[in-house]
Amino acid sequence: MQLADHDFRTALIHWAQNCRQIVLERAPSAESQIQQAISQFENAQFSLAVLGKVKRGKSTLINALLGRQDDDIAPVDKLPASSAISRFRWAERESATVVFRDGRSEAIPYARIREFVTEDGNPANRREVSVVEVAGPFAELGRNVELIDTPGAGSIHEHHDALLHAFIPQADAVIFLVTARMPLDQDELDLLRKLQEADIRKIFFAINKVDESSLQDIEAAIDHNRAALSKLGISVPQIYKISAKRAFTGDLPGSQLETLAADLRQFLTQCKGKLLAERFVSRVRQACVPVQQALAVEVSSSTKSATELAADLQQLTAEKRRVEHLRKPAEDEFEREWQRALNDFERSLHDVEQIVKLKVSSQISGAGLFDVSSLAKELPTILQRAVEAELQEPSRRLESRLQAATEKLRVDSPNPDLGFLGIQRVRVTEGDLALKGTAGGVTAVALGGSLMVAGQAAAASIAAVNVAAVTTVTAPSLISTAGAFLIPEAAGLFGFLGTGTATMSVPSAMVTTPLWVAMAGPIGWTLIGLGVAAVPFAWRASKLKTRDKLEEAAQEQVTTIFQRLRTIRVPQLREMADEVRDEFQSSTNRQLAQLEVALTELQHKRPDDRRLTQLTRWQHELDALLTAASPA
Amino acid sequence: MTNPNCDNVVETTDELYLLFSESAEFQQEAAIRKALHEVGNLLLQIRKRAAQARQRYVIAVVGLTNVGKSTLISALFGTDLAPRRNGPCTALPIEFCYGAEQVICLSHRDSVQRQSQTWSSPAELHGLLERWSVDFVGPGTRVSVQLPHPLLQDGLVLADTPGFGAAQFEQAEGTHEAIVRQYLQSDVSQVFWVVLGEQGIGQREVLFRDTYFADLCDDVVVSLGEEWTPSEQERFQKRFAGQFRRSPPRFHFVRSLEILEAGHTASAEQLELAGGIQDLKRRISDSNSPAIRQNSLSERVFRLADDWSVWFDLHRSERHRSPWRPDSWSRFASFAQTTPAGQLLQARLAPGK
Repeated sequence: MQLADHDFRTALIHWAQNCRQIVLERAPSAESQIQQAISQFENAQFSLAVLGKVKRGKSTLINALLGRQDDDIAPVDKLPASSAISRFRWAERESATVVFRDGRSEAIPYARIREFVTEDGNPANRREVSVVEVAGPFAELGRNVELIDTPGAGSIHEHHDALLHAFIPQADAVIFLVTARMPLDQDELDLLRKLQEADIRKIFFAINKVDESSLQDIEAAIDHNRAALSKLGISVPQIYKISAKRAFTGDLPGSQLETLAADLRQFLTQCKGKLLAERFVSRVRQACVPVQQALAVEVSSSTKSATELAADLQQLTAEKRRVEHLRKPAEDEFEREWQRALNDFERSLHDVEQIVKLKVSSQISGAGLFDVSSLAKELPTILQRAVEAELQEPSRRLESRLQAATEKLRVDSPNPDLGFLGIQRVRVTEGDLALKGTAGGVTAVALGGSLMVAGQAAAASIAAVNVAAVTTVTAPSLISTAGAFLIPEAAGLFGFLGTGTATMSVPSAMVTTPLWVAMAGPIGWTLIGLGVAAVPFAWRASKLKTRDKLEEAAQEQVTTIFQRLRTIRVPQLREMADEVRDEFQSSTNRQLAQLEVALTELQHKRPDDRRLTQLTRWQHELDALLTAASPA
Repeated sequence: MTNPNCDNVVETTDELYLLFSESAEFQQEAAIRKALHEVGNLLLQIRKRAAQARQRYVIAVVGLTNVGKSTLISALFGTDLAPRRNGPCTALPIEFCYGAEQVICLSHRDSVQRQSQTWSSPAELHGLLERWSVDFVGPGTRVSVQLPHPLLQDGLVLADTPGFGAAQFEQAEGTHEAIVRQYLQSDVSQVFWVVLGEQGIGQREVLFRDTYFADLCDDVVVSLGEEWTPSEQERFQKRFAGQFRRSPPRFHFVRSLEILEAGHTASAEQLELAGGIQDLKRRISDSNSPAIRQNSLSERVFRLADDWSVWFDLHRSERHRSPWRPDSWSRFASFAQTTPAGQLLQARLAPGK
């Protein structure tokens, strides 16, 4: 019951290893780049959350999916049990870590997990748990899938709902559990609406506990659920019928879980998996192409005289200098525009903050007939909406300016003219990505602008390098990156920014953008730390008895949010400028460096026939590998 | 029972209510005024039930859709009488009341004429009910099923109500709940609140109870699909105790479906296992006779008077020796003199004792 397509991934990694073997001797730097790509690819994770109303069997399903014999790590009870969010991922050794709201964390044995994640062990979350991270050699869990258990919606424990809503936007896909015993109710509809707002398009809708209802009841439930879903505008291709309990107690065929698992597997591979794979292939390619090119040059220049070689080298150096010279102004301008855009954004934050505060205050004071307690309940939502609405326009503006700056850098970045080495430069324009190589005269076509399906021609490479570099940072992904950067902050604090493009681009941004990948370390899941910041506020609000105090708390909360935007997100965005620039620089630099090495090598030592055969073989092998790899 | 039964609960409660509410208006001290008001409101609730206690006494079985209300009623009767109405169907409350014949009756408040038909088997009854609740849905319609069951003697009515909480799209949301709500407010004296053990009690349910029947509910029936150990039952009560701060209800853990399936062959042992159902039947028989109902209400009146005097002793000050408005008190005193129960109440409430 594997949750990810291992064969496909294994094949890709195998391919990358082969590439690595060939470049190993020629270019250690390229080799380490490939190595890095492989390890990142291996570690990239999907978040698959199990959601549903209270007592729908979420933890039981988690245990079943993890292939557990006991319920130590996802405790199950007759009463509503789970009170915290738990994440499960694969690791060689068992470990469990409790992360508290204040950022502290504590390692605990499996046997103690119960004390932190259940309503009995940790009533009303008195221990202030933010999330519990569980790792172990779970046989069934794909190494790249992270399972997430959540508290049930609609219980009497209101803080569970707050936790849940704050978490939703962070899932890549969701298994939504209902039962046939109880018809879909308002709580479940509310939860589905939240999912819709967070744009989790992939919902696996499953009726659990099918062994406890009659076939007739199940069919009736399916009809009712379909009607409800279609009213919400949610389409699910299939409503799964499962019994998590059976799977948990060892009766896998009887649980009917296989169908769901197979579809999950396919989804994870096809959607996010595909993006990840594309990104991976493109990175490996980027590392290999300069090597391939240098090999071609070395082979074709092996008959040149010493003088010719010296002349080539000289010209190469000149070309390098020229590129360097031209690059500077383009980069400077890029840097300036990037920072200017951020300055403007930062300045606008001040106004936005004031507007949000005003809006919230007027809502609080204007609600004359409001009961204070219901006001307290609604306040987190009111705040969320206000921030959401006011932040949308400035962040959209920022996104489009950053995007424009990057596009300009792409156009202005100089391409080295390497015609003297038989490498022809092709001006690449968007939408027309036909690349011509002189060496073999072969045409390579890049499809869709994202993944290069390069021809076997070594000569396609210069342009290929550029395209590969450019496509990784170009417009669409950058939008997502900036969006992802801005939005999770607010999203973290408020659960989500319900509308707009930003939220929905987060998952793809995380996989397509190298910058995002680079920064995913510090951002990634630390988000959850920010995420629950909404919860203390919801609590605090619910405890405050007077309008004045509520207003004070709301103002403080707004201040905190904007403070964090200024002190955390904006600096991160500023640093991204360097990343973008480096991405452009390094591809050209690598190319030139490889060529330089190749020519210098020739100067010092003419390859004998055996060496030449070896070089040619490498060249062909690399050609073949780079041609072959096109993850469907 | 140490207190004499007041056979005129309604009049007594009326008089007490006047005493408390008039004194509340007269009272200067805010805390005392608030307490007087509170007691006044509680008296109103007792008054409402007392009025009903004399005549038709309706116990309504209320709960979320599909928690097992109908199954519970069937289990109480020992036969599969109440149709299981799966899913959110349009439905009316169905009243079960005593009759020598097995008759089903349909009436509307705007019409004198009734429609009635005899039934001989549960299946026939189900067929009729199914047709009627779909065809005649609308506020003001009443469906009653008569049968000669001992549980229903002395005018007790057991009502099966439509479930609430399910997602509704067909009609405007809430019309369903409006029917239940109206019925609860105008007809019902007591509520058995059915919750699902396997799901616990949810926010929405609590809200519904608070809005519609908090004052009518002394019993929570926890419907179970499987066996629960006593310690699990205790944990359940403890977990949800916080939702009943005012007056803790009795919890009855019942496995209705099992009882129903066991049918008449159910041995004493099986019934014992199924637990709460016997207990629940006793609760119904207790409410069965008007005299016992009156009694329990008069008990409540006395308890309330006690609670009040304890509270007042703790909060009185030199300046406020009596909480009563003098003329209200003298009118109450002259009424109280006429019955033994009244005299006792007067003694408890007397100022400056």
